[in-house]
Amino acid sequence: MLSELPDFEHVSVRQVEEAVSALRTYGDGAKVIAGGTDLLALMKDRVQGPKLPIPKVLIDIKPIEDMQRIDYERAQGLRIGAAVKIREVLDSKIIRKEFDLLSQTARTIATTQIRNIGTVGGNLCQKSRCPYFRHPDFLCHRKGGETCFAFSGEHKQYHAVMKYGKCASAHPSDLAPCLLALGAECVVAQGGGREVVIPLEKFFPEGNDQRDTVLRPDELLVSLRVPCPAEKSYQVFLKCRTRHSADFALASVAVALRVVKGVCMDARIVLGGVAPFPFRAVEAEERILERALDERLIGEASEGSVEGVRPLPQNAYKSDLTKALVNRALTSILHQMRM
Amino acid sequence: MGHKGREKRDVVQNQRKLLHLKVNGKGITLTFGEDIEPWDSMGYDVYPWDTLAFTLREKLGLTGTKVACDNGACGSCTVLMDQRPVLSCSMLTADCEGKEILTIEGLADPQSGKLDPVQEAFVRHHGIQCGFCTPGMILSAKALLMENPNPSEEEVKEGLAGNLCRCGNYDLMIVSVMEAAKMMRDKAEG
Repeated sequence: MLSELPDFEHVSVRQVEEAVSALRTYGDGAKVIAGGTDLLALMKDRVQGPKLPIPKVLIDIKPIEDMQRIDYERAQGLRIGAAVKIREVLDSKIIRKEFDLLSQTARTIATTQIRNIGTVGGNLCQKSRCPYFRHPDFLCHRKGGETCFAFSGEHKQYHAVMKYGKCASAHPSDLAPCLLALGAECVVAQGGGREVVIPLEKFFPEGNDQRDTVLRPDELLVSLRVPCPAEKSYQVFLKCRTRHSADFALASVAVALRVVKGVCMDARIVLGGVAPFPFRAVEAEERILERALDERLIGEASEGSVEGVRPLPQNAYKSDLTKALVNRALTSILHQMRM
Repeated sequence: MGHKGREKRDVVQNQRKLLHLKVNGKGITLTFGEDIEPWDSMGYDVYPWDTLAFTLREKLGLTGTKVACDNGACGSCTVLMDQRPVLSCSMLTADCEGKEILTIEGLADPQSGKLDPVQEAFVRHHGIQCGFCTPGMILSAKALLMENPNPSEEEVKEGLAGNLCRCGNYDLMIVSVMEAAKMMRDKAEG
């Protein structure tokens, strides 16, 4: 009756160090589980390939207290444990007050039920929404096969319009563009108690890579560090979905601007759902940097946001959609500035 | 009996342990492990790969929790965990240690059998067609009303966004939830 999960071992760990050494002991067959909303669905469907074995061991990192906390200090900024639930991000008073972009984004992620289980780290490390990738019968490039079936098949919703390589799928995460716009860094645990800090920009590999993140199989995303936004920082997150109430992004945009005396001193415009990684629209940023924001400039910036776009036959609309989202986001910031 | 993991026994330490959870107000102990034998399980046994939906339905006989997509998309399997709605098909029972679960069977008053206001409103306004999504829908509505006793219609829609109804009876459900909210407020005011 129920589509059963394949057999696996379930190992609970209480320390980051234990998790990393468990990953090392069990090798390729081990996966970390936190919320599990994405992982279990893939396992039930037996989605697998040479690059994507079905895990034999699941290492439950939920008991690690250090990864469950949200800490804030004015000087250091925000630290969010990777196993913090999306719901907890929404509930956090400090995030609502100081990191509004995160609250705006968390509100649009999935459904109430999934926000209650799914985690921040899981949202960043989630797998492609490509229907061929998620179908057990298509051995696609992302799973270690030769071809990407989406280029000649269906690629209307969850595929890229720019920067794609051999795989057409777009990065589905909403938190990725949001955290990138906030200048977040990833704290990654390696063996031997070592921790490295990777800027979020470097966390997602280029289009031709079959991996979803740069994490090696024995590395663990422990937390995210977000610097405090400057005074007078304007932040807007917008996301367009097929089903407005709950769906993955067709396109999304996260904007964070630092404005001094009406002039943009710092601009971060990051696009989601249109490239294999959260795409920083540098072209658009440059057009508004060190200039006073106005309608004409917003028009230029939104045109510039999709510079170098190479849409596929069915998803050219995404380029217009992205421009419109950037335009709307900047316009709403302009209104806020004038208020 | 799920013994396929046995050849790996030398690598993996035996993780057999007891799981304690509260389902509909009743404490339940489950034996959890890779190699449970029927004779040494103290009541109910759970394998690492059992989802909460499976345990509730197949082990505890609480078949009020429905499973439709079994993939985290439809919300039929919604139960309340520590008063918050979660998808029981996308959670491992192994992760539920110490949690309080409320399924549709536990919603009515256990003594008198009197239905919860949300259930009553669903009956009165016919918020049900085929009924398969109903348990999940009612529990999502219940969770919404516990948090927000006075929701707008828009907030109700948002609160139920994780539950799909393939009959398309959304209108009457929203009417039911609005009515339930009113009933609960009236009751609170006495």
